Amino acid sequence: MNKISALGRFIGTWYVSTVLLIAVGLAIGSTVFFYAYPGKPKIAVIDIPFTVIDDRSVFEIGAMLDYVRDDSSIKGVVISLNSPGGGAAPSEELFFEMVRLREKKPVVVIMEDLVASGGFMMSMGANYAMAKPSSFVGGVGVILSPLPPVVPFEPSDREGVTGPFKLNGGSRRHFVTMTEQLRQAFASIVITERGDKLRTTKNEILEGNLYTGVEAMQVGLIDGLGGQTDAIRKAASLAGVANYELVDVNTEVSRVFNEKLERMNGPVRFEPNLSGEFSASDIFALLNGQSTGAPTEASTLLKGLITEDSDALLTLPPTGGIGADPAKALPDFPLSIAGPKAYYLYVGSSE
Amino acid sequence: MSAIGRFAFGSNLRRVLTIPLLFAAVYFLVALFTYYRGTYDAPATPDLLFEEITTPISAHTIFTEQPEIRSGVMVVDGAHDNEFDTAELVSLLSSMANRGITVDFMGVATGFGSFRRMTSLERLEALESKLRQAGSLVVIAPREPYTKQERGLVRRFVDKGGRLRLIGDPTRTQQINRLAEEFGLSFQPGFLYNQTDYDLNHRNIFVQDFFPDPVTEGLTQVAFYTVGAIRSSGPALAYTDGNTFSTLVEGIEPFYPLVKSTRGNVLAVGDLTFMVPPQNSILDNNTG
Repeated sequence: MNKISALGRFIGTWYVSTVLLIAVGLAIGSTVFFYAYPGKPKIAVIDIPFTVIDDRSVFEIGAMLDYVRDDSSIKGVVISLNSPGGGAAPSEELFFEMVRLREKKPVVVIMEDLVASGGFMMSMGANYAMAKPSSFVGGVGVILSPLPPVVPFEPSDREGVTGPFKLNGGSRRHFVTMTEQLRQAFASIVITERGDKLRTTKNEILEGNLYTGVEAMQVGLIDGLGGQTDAIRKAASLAGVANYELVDVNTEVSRVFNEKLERMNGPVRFEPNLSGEFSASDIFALLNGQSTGAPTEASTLLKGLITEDSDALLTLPPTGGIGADPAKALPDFPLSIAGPKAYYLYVGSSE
Repeated sequence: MSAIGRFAFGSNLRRVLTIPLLFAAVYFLVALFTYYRGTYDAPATPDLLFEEITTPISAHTIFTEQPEIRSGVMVVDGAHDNEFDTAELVSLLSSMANRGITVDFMGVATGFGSFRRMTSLERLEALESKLRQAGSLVVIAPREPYTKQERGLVRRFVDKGGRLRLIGDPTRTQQINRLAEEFGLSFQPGFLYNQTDYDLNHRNIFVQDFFPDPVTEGLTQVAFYTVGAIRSSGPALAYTDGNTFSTLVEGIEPFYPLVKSTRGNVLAVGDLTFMVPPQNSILDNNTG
């Protein structure tokens, strides 16, 4: 009892209590700074290895861009990019997503081996574009395919069609016009985004040439040469941060995604030899006695499961639906469905 | 003791409240300075002026021709696996019909706008037979090269005054140079493009410089739709401007898409599609 009252008296002395209050103050300060606002700054690194930009890659890259946009402790973003481009609409989607991200935090793109066409368009949405001296960048332009043939299709009296171009969307000249519009739109993005930094002509850009990093720097298509460390430093500098942590966004997004999936699926686990082999439409096809594109062994295994528990499988949706094969979606439609596709893509030589 | 000191340490309650807050603030500021050196100023998002995009479209012309009526037979080669569809020749054929010229195809038509492949012997016989009555021979993008014997037949035909028209096209597979070289002509690789003045696409170039010749009479401006340059030991009939370049050939500007042979009765043009509808109605494409 005496010891406790002695400790009380000791704490009660002004210099001891002051030290304790200071410690409490420092603890409050650090807690507020690190856990409330503004937090220890982070620079996010997104790695995009050689990727052809399509709907799926847009989904994955978009998820990473969303992650860094929504995490307030991430103050700057570095995107390590290697892409020959891809579909026109997916590439444009990524460009607009980059611009949206740039409105909140600085984005630095470091171009790896090849950043061409749609990949280059994406990088135009960054605050700062860097490349390595030997990177190949540029390839501004569009490929529209297929163009209607020089000799138009014979009209058919088997289908009732409204409008002379209802079936194929326009004459060959109309498609060439559309190609030119897309080319001009791409040029408009490059010219607007590079602004005064551009030291070449619109015509030269539109030739579709690839440039080495060195050349790209000379003509103002990029802002600097360097490696990933330089890109990280640049992002930190643009964000106004001095000491920062690096965040591997690819790993973080995979972790978050897997956690969500686990919450959704609960304890359900797929057989390893069935996982990834079948879609719902495949199962429905098997129920109807049709064949699927899946391996025979897996088909046999699934057929066994269907026989055991066919009642449960009867609740599966009919064929078609989002992203379905057009032939399956409209099995009675007499013509093959193959619309034109626009690509911002560097193809390269085949050899 | 200062006023602040008196306030802070003047009573226990104030001391308990003030000291932690003060040091929390100090810690916060020191950490802020350690980790942050400024703020991010997002750049203004520039307006992408898509609505200002225009595509250059050349004018269609109404073609009113009153040609001189002649007679004769024009043979069109379809025996060398030529890469064209007869529907593409509708403008050429109607133009010949207006002049009273009979068009005779060399080859066996499949009924789908193309011709059946022939053996070299069949081709030689067909060529010999057709050239006997022909006034002119049109060869369009042959995928099968002319053999030595065939070239000899064509050479004799031209030497006797027959007219040879060679039509190449860079978008098609062609073995036309074997025959063209017989007459001092050579279709160059690659295609011509112009990024400054063009019809819809850089590959669709305008040619407005012509040398005086009966073939170029009345021509002011012609639009070619992917054309290759041709070199000739004879006269060139048309040449490109300073903004037109070749994808493969450098250093020989200007380029000549329309040329004649030295003797004048062999004419070569580096594009087929300029005479295919609807391109045939652009500018002076249907003239001559």
